[in-house]
Amino acid sequence: MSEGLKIAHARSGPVCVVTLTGRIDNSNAKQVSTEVDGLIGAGEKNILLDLAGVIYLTSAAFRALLVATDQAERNAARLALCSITGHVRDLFEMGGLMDSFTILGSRDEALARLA
Amino acid sequence: MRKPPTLIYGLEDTPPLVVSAFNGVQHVALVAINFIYPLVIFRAAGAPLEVIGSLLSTGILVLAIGTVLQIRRMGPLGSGYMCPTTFTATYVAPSLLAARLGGLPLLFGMTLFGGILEAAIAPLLNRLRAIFPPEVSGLVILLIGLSVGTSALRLMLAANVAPPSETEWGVAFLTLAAMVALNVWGTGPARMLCALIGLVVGYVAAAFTGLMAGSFATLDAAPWVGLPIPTHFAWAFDATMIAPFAIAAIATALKASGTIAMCQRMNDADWVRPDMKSTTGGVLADGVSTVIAGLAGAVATNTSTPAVGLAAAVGVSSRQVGYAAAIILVLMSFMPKLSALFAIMPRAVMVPALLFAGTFIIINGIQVIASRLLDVRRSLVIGLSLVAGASADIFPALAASAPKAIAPLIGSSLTFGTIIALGLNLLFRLGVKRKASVTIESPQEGSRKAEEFFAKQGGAWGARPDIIKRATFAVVQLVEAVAENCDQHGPVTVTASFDEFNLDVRIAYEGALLEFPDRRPSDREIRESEDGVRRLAGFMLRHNADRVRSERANGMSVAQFHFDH
Repeated sequence: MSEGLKIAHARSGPVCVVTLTGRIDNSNAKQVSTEVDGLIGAGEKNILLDLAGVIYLTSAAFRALLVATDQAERNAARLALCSITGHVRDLFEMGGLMDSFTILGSRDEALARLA
Repeated sequence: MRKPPTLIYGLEDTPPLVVSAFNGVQHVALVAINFIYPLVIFRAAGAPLEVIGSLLSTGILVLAIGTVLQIRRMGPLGSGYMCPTTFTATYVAPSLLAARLGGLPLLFGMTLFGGILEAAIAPLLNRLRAIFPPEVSGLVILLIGLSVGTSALRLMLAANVAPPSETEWGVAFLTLAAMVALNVWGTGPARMLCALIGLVVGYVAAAFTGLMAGSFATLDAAPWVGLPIPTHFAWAFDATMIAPFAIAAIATALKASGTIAMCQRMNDADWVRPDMKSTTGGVLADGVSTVIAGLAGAVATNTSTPAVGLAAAVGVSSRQVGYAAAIILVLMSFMPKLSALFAIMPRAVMVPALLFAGTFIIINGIQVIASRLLDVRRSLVIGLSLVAGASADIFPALAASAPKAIAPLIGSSLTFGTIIALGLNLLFRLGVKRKASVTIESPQEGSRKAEEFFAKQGGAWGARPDIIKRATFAVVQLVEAVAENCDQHGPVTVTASFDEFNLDVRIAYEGALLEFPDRRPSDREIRESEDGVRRLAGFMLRHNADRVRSERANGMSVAQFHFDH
């Protein structure tokens, strides 16, 4: 695992929650796409990326998230993001990327919507 | 200005009359909580109850004038926003000093001085931030809260007052408990008006337990309707009072500018930074309102932050509501019985109300202090000044043994603590470099070095954490983008320079210039091409900073980011 990013899994009913912690840049962005690819390959249909612990994301990270979203759509899976707040939310807005993803408030709200 | 979707009735809207009237009543109820400040000050000046009632009526009329001055923009005067005016806690400590030293004439004379000073510094407000950085302003607010709390306790516990009876303790506890319970567990209007409801509970308890037996004659004697004509026409000035009132004037100016910025942000969906013309006009109107207070025989006024918070909470910020509040205040000022009812407030009710108000002022001060990154120097400024301020209250012998000319500076926790903070702040500026550099040898260490560099410098400069985050991102994103797309080689040099208003970051490297496009690449372009990611990086960097520029200089590519601070 690259310095700066930790990835953890949890299951909540039909939803596979992936918690990302740290910074996501070009040194570790690929890990995120690989992670999501693996989950889709394993047959997951509801994937929730929790970004509560993310410090910041660079353009390389946004690309990884867009690729992962596209990949999910191609495989009839749902990929959503939650806990986008503070500086991370500013970055999504700054990049005009709020509408490029399914963004679902807090983790609890997201789980209620995806369940 | 675009109305945000959270507002039901924006600044320019005209709500139905009943909505304006109901909201006006709520604003006046919030403003009325601060009626305790003139009461405690007038009592310290030794004014009889009927005089206090009459002075309060005049003061309420001044609040109506102040509220209208804020709403209407007349030349340079006024913010143009619905921003009600109220009596202020900021002046309580210096006003009590003046009231005890020279009675009402000195109180009104010095209030007049404070108002003139606030009006005079309104155009210089931006420059004041260098002398009064947020952590010092926060400390001043904290000390104001402490002084409100201690001045309350003095009413019951000072050596020169009658010791409180068991009944008084009981009523005081009940009043405080009502305020706290409604604030913690209440909802809607009950929570918002918890202090006012607590006052009513206190009055009822005091009346039933006989604490107000001697005061009802004053209430009976006051007519239902009467003109709020100024009755006091004597003003005095004392040079030893300049410092305490100057500190209060600066603190009210800073608070008014903060409240008006809140109004601007609440009313404009596209708000980016304060509109200084409106802010300056608002602070000027705030000063003029205090000038009128000094002339008419009232205590100092300030914009009401809770009232603006209420407007945001209910989504109604129409100017019409401000006018409704002003009309209600005018009507109240013509009701001497109402003023008399406030004037006879027993200390068992006044003390918990002041303690309750002081608590929130203290917390507000702590929040302002915490809004900046704090290094060792700034921690020392706050810690030592706080101890100095508290010692002024705990050890009155300090002021008693000081030369007469400087005794008022030492005798008040607010003044002494602020002066120590200002002195230490200036002293500790020595040796802090306003410009610093770091060299990033390879893209792999870009994130770590940028984070460490800005965390260290941000603390030393007392910069805002949100600006430091943006600056850190600028470096991380640029280093990543030029390494991937601009054939960058060799070290990258980052130079940051800071003053209280600006953070400028200059990044120099060998390689091609990165462009900062004003159009975002499509999702597909980002997904499918390196060029899309590069353009997204440039697009984000452009929007991350307040200004961005790139150029070639001395054979190097240079990107410059400016952040308003």
